[in-house]
Amino acid sequence: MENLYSTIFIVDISQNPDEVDTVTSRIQQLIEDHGGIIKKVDRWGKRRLAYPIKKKNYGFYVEIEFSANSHLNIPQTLETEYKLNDRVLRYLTYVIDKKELIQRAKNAAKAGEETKPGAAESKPAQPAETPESKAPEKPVKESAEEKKAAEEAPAKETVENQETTVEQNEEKEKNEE
Amino acid sequence: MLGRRKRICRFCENGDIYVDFRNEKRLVRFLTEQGKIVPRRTSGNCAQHQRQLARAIKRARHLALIPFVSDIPR
Repeated sequence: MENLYSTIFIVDISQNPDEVDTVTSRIQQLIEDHGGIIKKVDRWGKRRLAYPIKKKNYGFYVEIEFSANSHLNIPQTLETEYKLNDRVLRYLTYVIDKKELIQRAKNAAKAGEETKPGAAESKPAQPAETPESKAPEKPVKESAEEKKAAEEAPAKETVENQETTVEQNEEKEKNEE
Repeated sequence: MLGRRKRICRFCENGDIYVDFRNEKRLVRFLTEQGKIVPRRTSGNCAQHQRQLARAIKRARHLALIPFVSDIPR
């Protein structure tokens, strides 16, 4: 059965920021060698980890979406690679659900219509992953995507959110600085 | 009590059919201060969305997007 997979991994960039490219290309290579087709590569960028992993507080997130036949066992090959590679702090590989795709299309459509002030608030982060893949099919959304990108960039750390968890993280960050 | 506000599933309200773990700001609303998942009887989520939410939270925790535990602020 042909499946659509998504694999996300966190690269340790405390030693050398170039590791991101080495690891990413290595993973891409692995997927292609084993017969998978890469759909998109999304670099989330450097982010603060919610809790330290291997004594690291920051990591670089990369997401790769690919399709492959399930009997190729690509997730397993990836897992062995991730385990051996000590630059990878964390990884997650999963099969993308149909519902997720429908939801992405919905989000893209909603954002494409018109961004209502009330509705915009819950959306920005969610559809931000989709633009690259959706762009070629539906060029109408381009302007909206730019808006989204602009919205997303400064909102890395939540300011409006009153949840204590977020506040704590921010406090910690300040203290460290 | 009888006069209690009717709880509506926030995801149903929004028309969402999938809860994405990438949007950690949204997930954080369904966590207690300690980082526990808020029960359905409190959040008012429908069973389907609560299950999706739980999975999303667990994935997000694994990827260090949201904490497993967060202590009382110092």
